[in-house]
Amino acid sequence: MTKHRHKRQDRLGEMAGRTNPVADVWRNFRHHPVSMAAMIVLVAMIIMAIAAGFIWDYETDVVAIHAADRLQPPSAAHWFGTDDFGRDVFIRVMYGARYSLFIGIVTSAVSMVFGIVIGASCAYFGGAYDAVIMRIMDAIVCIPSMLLMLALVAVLGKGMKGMIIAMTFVSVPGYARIIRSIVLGVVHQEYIEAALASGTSHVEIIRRHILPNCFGPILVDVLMSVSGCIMSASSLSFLSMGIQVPAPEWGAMLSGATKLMQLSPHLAIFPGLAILLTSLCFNLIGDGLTDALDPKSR
Amino acid sequence: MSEPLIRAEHLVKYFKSNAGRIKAVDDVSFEIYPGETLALVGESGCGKSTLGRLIVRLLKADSGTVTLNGVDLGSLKGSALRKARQNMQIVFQDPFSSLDPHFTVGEVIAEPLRAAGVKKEERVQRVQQLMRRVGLQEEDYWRFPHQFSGGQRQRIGIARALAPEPQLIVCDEPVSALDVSIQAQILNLMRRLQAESKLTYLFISHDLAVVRYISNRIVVMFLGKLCEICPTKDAYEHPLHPYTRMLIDSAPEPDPDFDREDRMLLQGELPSPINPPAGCRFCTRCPYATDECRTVEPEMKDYGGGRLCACHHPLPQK
Repeated sequence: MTKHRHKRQDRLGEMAGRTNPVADVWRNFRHHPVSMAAMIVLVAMIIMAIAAGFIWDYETDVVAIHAADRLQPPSAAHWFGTDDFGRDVFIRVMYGARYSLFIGIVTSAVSMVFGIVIGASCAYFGGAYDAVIMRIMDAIVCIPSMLLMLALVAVLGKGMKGMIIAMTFVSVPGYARIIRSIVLGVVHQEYIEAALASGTSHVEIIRRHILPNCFGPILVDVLMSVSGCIMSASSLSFLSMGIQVPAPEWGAMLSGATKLMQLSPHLAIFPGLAILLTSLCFNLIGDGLTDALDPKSR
Repeated sequence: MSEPLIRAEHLVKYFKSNAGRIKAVDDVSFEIYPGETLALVGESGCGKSTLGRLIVRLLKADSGTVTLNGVDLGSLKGSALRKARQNMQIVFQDPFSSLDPHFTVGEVIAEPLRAAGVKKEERVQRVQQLMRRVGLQEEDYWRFPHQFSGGQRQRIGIARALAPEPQLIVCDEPVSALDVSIQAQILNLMRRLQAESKLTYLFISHDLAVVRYISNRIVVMFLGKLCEICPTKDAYEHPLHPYTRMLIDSAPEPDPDFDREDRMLLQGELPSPINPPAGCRFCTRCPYATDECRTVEPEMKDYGGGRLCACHHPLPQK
């Protein structure tokens, strides 16, 4: 009897708190073998990208020319072979992860911040403000994105900075539109009305209802878009408008490999695989998170 | 009769759309008395839900006033308005979209208490009490809304509406999304709660069987206007407005021996609320319509015994 009572008291005390949502999401995510594998690969890549800077020296190992070792096929000494300047492709691909991951993540993050500000404010204020801003966004989307990026890079100057600005500018409208629709979808739910009717203030409604309900879909969207950014960055570099040779950006490496494709296919295969694998990992993690973040799976 | 709890006067609400202004609620006046269940009936799209939301001020009227206990709700702002909201709650039609999927049942029900600044320990106690009152289990506190059936979710919604101890609860088609067997349970629960807490209901519905069962008085609405206000019994036995009669006759009758011959059935579609007919809005569908009906808008007239009707040619009374 007393034991039972104690148990009940404990439960009541516990009811003042709340389950930890992060723990819930993690628990669900772990049950997605494919997404978990993608996560492990990606973490390994990030570690490699950071470690590469300590293991190899940029000047001597990554860009220095070794005429004697030109165009070697993959071997024990050079796992991914060597390129037409005798540089080790393995080292360059590993080192290149720094560029792609950095550009992909930074561009996505910056675009997301702009996208949230524009999209959420449009959804919230509505009216003429919404109409004007969204038409501007539509106008930007109308221009083929690759063309627009090339034009912007031409104005801003080649290189990392110009590329990130150009890519952000091109991807913000897409973000703004998606985030606007996510927020609108939440704002028009009846539970928001119910919260209003119960006397909850606007600030509390945004904090307790709107943000938590938008967070999941937005996060997933951002993760999915990282792969898009990585591909855009590689495309720009491939067209020699992004990261410049001899820097080992994957797209730039592919570009250099085109003329030697038949003679030494490994020059194209390894950077290509790296792009594919990174993009795939982000997409698969996004997939897993979509399910894990669904409140219905808690 | 006693002083009204809610007095709505000349309420007007138009919505803008691409096709023009939708006259959702157009010059509507009525009263709700404490302790009664007032049913608001009409076809889909006639402005019932909009009117309900105007009463609890989830929407702001373009003109006209709603007073609660003599206080004009339109004049309230900020924290005064939030405080007044505690006195009038709403139960929604859709038991799925009306509960935040990220909230546990306990958090959903505690929300109005939280807004009212009730301390955590007291909140937990009161939520527990409310859950018992609406027939939820204690261990449901930590479960999420999606783990419940529609009927159970509606119980959660009712508990939330009950939490701030309101005087008025607007029920916006609270049972129309539920199975018939569950409807009866929820209706009985609502009746029990009304008796226990002296609640007043504004019960919005298009289901006339449900309305007959639960309401004391009935307000019939057509295309943003009120047609008839009367005690429920009168509406079913000898209605004044042809629309009331047709609405009631259109409800399915389970008795196979029932004489279906002398039923008056509704013809045609609801006219557009953007461009309603001139004169009486019901004239395009009314068998008794005359030239007067097509030109002059009927006024609400008092027929005694709490019966009001807006019609040039009310049905003859036996």
